[in-house]
Amino acid sequence: MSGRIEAEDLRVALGGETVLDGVSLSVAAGEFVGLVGPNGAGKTTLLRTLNGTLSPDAGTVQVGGESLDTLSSRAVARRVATVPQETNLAFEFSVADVVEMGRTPYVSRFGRTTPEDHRAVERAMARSEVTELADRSVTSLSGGERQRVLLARAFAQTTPVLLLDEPTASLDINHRVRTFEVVREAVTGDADDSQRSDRPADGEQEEPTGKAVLAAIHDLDAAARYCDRLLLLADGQIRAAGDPADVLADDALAAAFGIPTRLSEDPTTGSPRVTAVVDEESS
Amino acid sequence: MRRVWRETAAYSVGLAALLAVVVTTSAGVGPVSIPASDVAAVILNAVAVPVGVELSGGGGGLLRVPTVRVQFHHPFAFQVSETKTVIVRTIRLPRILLAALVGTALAAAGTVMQGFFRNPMADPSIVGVSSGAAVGAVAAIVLPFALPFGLGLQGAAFLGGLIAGFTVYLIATRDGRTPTATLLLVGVAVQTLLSAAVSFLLLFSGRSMRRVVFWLMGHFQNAAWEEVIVVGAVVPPLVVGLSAYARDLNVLLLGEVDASALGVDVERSKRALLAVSAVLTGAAVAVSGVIGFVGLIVPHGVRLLVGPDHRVLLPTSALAGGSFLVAADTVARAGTVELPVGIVTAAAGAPFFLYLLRTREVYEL
Repeated sequence: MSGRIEAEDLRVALGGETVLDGVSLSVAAGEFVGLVGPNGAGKTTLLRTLNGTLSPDAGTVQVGGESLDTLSSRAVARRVATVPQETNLAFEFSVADVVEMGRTPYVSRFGRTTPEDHRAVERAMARSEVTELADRSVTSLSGGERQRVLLARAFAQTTPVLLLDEPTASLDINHRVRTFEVVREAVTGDADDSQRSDRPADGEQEEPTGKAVLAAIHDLDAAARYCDRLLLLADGQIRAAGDPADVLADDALAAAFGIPTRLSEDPTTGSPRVTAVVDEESS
Repeated sequence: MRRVWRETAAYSVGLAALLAVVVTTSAGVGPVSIPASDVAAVILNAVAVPVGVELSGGGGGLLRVPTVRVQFHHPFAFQVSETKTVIVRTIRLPRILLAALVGTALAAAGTVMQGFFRNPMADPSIVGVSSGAAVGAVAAIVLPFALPFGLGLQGAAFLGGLIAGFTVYLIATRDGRTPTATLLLVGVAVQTLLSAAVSFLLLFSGRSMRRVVFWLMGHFQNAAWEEVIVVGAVVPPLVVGLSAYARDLNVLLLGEVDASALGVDVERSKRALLAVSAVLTGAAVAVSGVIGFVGLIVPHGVRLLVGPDHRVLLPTSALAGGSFLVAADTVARAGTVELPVGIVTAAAGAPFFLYLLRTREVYEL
C-alpha cells in the first residue's frame, strides 16, 4: 500500500456553515507535514474528512490512489490512523486493551486476534514507550501517558498514513519533544521493524516504511522544527504552504492569527522561531 | 488479548454452573418441597436423544416437549414418583426456564444499551420497547373487541414493542445518522406518551384492572412450554449474535468519532445493536410483562466483577441475568401470596444497586 494521501478541492459544511472551502493538499510517504492555523480554522474538520469520519460535500480524498468513498470503514482504517485530540478514556480498560483496539480493522467479527495482531500491539507499545504501562488502567494515567497510549493505538493500526490532531497540546516540554521524536522516527523509518532481525515471517503484512504524516500543531516553533513542510489553514482555506521558514515568514501568517509576528532563528536548534509582537510601540 | 478468551470461558462455565444450581434448587421450592436429587433425576429422565430418521420439525432439544412428536431414546431412568415428575416437568420447569430466558434477554439487552449510550442508567426499556409492549398488552386485555389478525396478548405486546422502538429510531434519525443523545431524548418522550396511553386504558379497564396491573408489574404465572420454546428459539441465537458486536461496543465506548476512525461502521453497528436489543426486549416483555431492574442492575454488578470489556461482559451478564431472575421468581412464588416478580427484582435490585454505588467508586460505566 502506497502511503500518499491526497485531497482535491475539499468542501465541507457543518450545520449549514462552510468549514472547509476548496482545500487541496498532498502528503507523500516519508513526509511529515504540519497543519497550522488559528483556533476554528477547520483543522480538526480537515483531519476528520481525511480519515473518512466526515464525508466532504465536494472534492475527493485519495489514499494510495484509492478514493476514500469507494472503501469500507475497515479498509480506510487499515490505511489511515488518527491520534485524536482527546478521547473518552474513562473506562477501566487496560493500556494493552486500548492499544489492541487499533487492530479493530483487522479482526473479523467472529474471529480472534492473531499472533500477528499481538506482535503489532507489542511493537506499537514499544515504539511509543508505553510497554511498561501495559497492565495499568487507562483511567490511572497522566495526560502525557494517555497521549502516548493513543499514539500506540494508531501505530497498532499499521497504516501508511498517520494523522495527528494537536498531539502535544497537553504535554510538558519533555513529553512534547519525545512525541515529536517518535513521530519523526515513524516518518523516516529509522526505528522501523522492517530493519530488525525479529521481523515477522513471510506472508505477514509489513510495517510500512516511512509513514505519511499530517499533524495539526498549535506550537509554531515545534512545527517548524520537526515538519518537512507546513500548511497554513485559515477560514477553511489553505493560505500558505511550503517550507516551514517560508510559511512562517509569510504575511498570511500574521493575517491568519490577527497579530503581527516576527521571525527569528532559534539559537539552539537553528530552526525558525515565531514571536508574536504584542505591543509594537513599547518594544 | 488471549486472556480475554480464557476469562470469558472461565466466567461463563462458572455462571452456567450457577444457573444449573439455581434452576435445580428453584424447581424444588414450592407448596410441595422436592429434594434437589429428585429434581435432578426428573430432569435427567427427560433427557431424550432423538432416534430414527423421520424428520417432523427440527432436531429436538434437551428436554422432551409434549408438542414435538419425534421418537426419542431416554438414556436415563431414575426412580421418581409420578407426582413429583409432573410437578417439576409440567408446572415448575416451564416457568423457571422462561424466567431464565427472560433474565438472559433483559441482561444482555441492558448491557448493550448501557454501552451503546455510554450511560450507566440506560436499560432495555430506554428506546420505548417496553412501553410500546405495555400498550399492546393492556389494549389486548382491556379493549372489548378482539385485536386484528387474531393477535393475542403476547403478539400484541411484542408487536407494540417493536413498533414503538422503530418509531423512536425513525424520529431520532436524520440523514442516516442517529445521534445517541437524540435517541435518548426521543425515547423518553415516546415513553411518556405511551405511559399516558396505558393510564388512559387503565381508566377503562374495569374488572380486568387487576390483570392489567399484574401484567404491568411483570410475572411468570401460567408459563407454558409453548412460550419456552418460542422464546428459547429467539433469545440464545440473538445473544450470540450480539456477542459478535462486542468489539464494536468496546470501541464505541471511546466515542463515535474514535470508533469510526478505528474502522467501525458506526451507524450500521448502532442499527444492528438497537434492532437486536429491541427484539430481545420485546420477546422478554411479551411473555413476562414489564420486569424492571434486571437489565439495569445485572450488567452493573457483573461489570464491577469482570470489567468493561464487552467480550467478557456480554456473555457473563446474560448468564447472570438468567440466574438472577430465576432466583427472584422463586422468591416471588415461594410465599403464601404470589407476588409479581417485578416487585421482587426492584426490591432486591435497588438496595443492591445503592450498595454498589457506595462501596465501589462507580463514577462511570
